[in-house]
Amino acid sequence: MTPPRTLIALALAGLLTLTGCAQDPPVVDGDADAPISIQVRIADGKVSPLGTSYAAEVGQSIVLDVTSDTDDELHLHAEPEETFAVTPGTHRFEFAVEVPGSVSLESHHVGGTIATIDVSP
Amino acid sequence: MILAHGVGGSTDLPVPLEYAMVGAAWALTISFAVLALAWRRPRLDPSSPGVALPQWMTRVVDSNVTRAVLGLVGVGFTAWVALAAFGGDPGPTNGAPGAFYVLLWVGIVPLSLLCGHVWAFLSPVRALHGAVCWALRRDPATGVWTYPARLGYWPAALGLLAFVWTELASPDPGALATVRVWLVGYVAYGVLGGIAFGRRWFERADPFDVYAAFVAALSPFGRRSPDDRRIVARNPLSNLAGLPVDRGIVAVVAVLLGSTAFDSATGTPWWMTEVQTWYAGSAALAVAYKTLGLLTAVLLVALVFVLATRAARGLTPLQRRAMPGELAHSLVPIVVGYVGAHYLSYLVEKGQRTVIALADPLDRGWDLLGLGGLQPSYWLSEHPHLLAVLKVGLVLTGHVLGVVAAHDRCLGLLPRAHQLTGQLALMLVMVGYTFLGLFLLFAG
Repeated sequence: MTPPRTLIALALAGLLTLTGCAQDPPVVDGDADAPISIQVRIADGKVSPLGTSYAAEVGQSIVLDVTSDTDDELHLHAEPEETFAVTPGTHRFEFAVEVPGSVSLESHHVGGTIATIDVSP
Repeated sequence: MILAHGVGGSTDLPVPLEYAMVGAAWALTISFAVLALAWRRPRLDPSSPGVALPQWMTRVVDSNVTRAVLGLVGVGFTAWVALAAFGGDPGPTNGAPGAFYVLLWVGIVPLSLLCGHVWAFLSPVRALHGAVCWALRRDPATGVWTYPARLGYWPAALGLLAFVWTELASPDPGALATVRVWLVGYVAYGVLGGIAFGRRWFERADPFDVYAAFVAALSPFGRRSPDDRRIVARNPLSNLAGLPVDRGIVAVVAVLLGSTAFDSATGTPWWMTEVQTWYAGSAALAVAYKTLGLLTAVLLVALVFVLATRAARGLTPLQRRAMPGELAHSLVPIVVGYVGAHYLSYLVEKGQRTVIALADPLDRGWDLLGLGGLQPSYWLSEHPHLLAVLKVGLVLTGHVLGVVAAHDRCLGLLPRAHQLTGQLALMLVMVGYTFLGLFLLFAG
């Protein structure tokens, strides 16, 4: 089978266009030094917020403030995984993500994905 | 610990919008270019002679020694994973879930794509079945009964659905108990089914074997003909045209495509902030909603495909009923592109973590082949723009190959007067799948 030349040309042009996009956009100098704050409330068997999106950079400090009326365990699905133990009361955890990717923060016992953090390099 | 995909860790950053847009624009353009400009007579012939590879390759591949060695590798690796699943400590240092969800489920795709259906040699259940038959002096090709032809691929489709349900909707996919159930269940299912129905069982009812065979149909390697077993290199699309059509073939591809789409959909802001509020806090409700979502995705993919392939005019009712099955092979490249894009970094990065963890299955400080001390490289994740280009490129390549495969098959099936219009509905559906795939890469 020999595909018509038109097709090959189209395919090549498509690939070229795609690779053209591959240049990294200029780095936005936001307040990458300022920590990101995530507030979590666990009360009456419910976690809030649910599914909030955050954007962070590798190594940026993320501060997690948790107010809870029960025992729970928060899992940070990053590389490597991290676990934060929660007891009734208020807690503050601080962490940074070192491998780029979309990282989710989940309540293990009460249940629910609290936040997804898009960590860019 | 409930882990996404059973192995945890982070997922890919969303693909930038403009990448998805460029991919979508090219998918649309190339589709119509194929329809308007490509050949007018079927060209993809699975019985085309291909380029014969040296005779010794066929001899080596088909030798009993190769079969025995690869079978031992498959059984040995499975046994090694079973050590970790039954004897290792739970947690991220246990390699069993990764072996199951990453190495087997995802690794089978590039393996089959590059090497053809080598899974038939590596499959632990085929090897164990072969050993049992050898011990009992039975012919492994035939079983006690003949495999019921009316079942077709349906048992494999249901098996695949059970797998994706375990991975995406079950309460705790990463638990060692889940892996143990699958390990024992699958070995029993494969070996007993093989004894009962012979080799046909693996070709129609074994979910992993059927998945591997479908992907292998898109590999560049094949046999010259059913009689001449010489290994040849052939246009992958010609090989694909030879994928055996049987009942349930649409169900197999719909499960693969629908489940991958569902997996991406659960990562979208809509699912995270809206759907999640309906079930958060209740494990039972979470399973119920995810099951419902998974089934909906699979059924939608299947329904739209069946309707579109049956839309062509000028066919007898009998021909019309056969259309979805006859065209199902054209979804295989789309599945491979989708799965490739979705799981690329997962296979590379979680795969490394799994191999490292498997160096010490029982947590006794073993270090098989010195692998235990290695550190996984996150190079792909550290280059998200390159990763995005690769992902969009995979989806686009799969789409183009699918459209070409469908076009060629339609030329042989549709009456001359309706060839162009008859393909239009199917092509629009394929464009729709691809747009959805790209959208989910962007939004997921």
